Amino acid sequence: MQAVKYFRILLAAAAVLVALGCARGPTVFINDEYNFQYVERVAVVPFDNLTSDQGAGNRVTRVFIADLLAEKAFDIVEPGEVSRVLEKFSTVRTSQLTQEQITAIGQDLKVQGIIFGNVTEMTSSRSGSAMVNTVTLVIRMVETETGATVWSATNTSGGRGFWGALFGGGDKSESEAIRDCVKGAVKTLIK
Amino acid sequence: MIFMVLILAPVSTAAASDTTPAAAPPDSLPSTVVAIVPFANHAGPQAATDSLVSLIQQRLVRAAVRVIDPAALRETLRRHRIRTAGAISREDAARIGQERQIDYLLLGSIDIYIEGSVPEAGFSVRLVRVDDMQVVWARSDAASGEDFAGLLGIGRITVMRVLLSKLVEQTFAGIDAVLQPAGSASALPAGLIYAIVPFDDSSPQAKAGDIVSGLVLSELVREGRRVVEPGMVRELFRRNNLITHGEIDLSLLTQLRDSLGVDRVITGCVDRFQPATTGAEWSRPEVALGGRCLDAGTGRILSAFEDARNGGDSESILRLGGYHSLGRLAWTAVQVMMKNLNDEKSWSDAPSRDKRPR
Repeated sequence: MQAVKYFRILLAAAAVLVALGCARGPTVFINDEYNFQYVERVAVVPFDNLTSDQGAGNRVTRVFIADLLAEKAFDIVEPGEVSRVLEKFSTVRTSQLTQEQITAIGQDLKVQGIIFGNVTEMTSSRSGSAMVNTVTLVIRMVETETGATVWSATNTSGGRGFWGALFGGGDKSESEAIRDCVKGAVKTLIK
Repeated sequence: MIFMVLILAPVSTAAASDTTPAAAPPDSLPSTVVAIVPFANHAGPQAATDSLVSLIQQRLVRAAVRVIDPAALRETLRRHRIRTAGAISREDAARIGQERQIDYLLLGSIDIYIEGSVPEAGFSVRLVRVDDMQVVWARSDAASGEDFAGLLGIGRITVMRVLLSKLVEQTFAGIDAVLQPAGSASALPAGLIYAIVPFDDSSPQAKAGDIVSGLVLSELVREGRRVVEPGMVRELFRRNNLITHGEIDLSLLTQLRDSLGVDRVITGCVDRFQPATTGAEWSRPEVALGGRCLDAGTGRILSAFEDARNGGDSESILRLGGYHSLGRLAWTAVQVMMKNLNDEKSWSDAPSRDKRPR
């Protein structure tokens, strides 16, 4: 009986350790009523940068475009074309575009979806001997007919995690942290 | 009559001798004429360009070609108000080509020039045939003095001029076969025609975008692809009152296709371009860049690639195998990027509906 009791305690402890070690996944919303088969072509608007790292927005946007292209799920509009169209709304932050403007952009670029994003965190900090890079993205796709959000994902990557903190290692470069964060977000949209 | 010819011959020779004398004897002057157009200087000091160009001139003379004296060429450029450096338009090339009877223009840039106890240098060069403005040869090379160090540091180069000299010898090793006499034009490589839209630059290093654009051109030519002379692309943008880096709109893409016959456009951005540091805070060089390949006919993005590298990534025990030179690290990064962008197998893959959420 004692042995069984100790075994149950050990099992519970192991379960807690495994749970602590598991990374938190992205927070995702997918509109189940929207038919994604309708989306052939998307435009990616340069992500807003809410961090102190200059250029973070553009850098993450490009990694996102490369990753989304590699999935071969949609055609993606060349960023030069997106810049040309957005210049017409140059006084407006992309997060403040109205439904009419989103529809107009969609028609001009001949896209069915527009992807917006924010880089909300990009930090480098020292943890012991390791450099820890953390990236957080908030990304959403709106469909161009109604301006409704049909997909969104919030994802964080980087940090050392429980096991890294316990046993050392696990540090990622900034580029790796960006790539992992983007990949984690894209995987919630693409099968 | 023969007496008259003998008197006049030295006079006519003197009049034509604004070229640097070639190694061949006077009665067999080389028939290929090359002019070195002022190099773009991405590295800083004017001494960088002067040193490099003088070494290149000496090397070309050994290849038994006539090199137009730089002072004489400067006079021609001044007269035609040509202020170009590192690139040239079709019209400007035709003007100076006609006036000086030039077969090839050598253009290029000095990309890296870091003096110190262990110097570092890098440059890109290309040869453009004046007749048809084809880029017939292009190379980029870079090294640090440390790259030549063997066991116990033996062979390490500590003098910049020696380093530049070695790089010039390496780079121009195959130039003799390329420099053919005028009229015997080598066959152009078949296949798609590429244009490079200058890379954008978000790194602290000035001109990193232009440096990487030069590396991309050298890599494309090395792969045997046809590339439009960047000066002609620049001229097209200038006519549209646009200076674009890292991206291009459909209208310009269409003009590149219609007026220059371009099939594919390569562009991108450089995020990090950092040389190695020495001393207490020793570090390896770092490069982060990305690129896209576009179909000029449809405007479609065919491929995209992002990469970030540190000179220590390939380092093994005893710090062996790593990169000392920013130029060589950048060159490797560009080669990997171009291999991915030019993976033609992936171009034909249309987007798949199966991958989209249901």
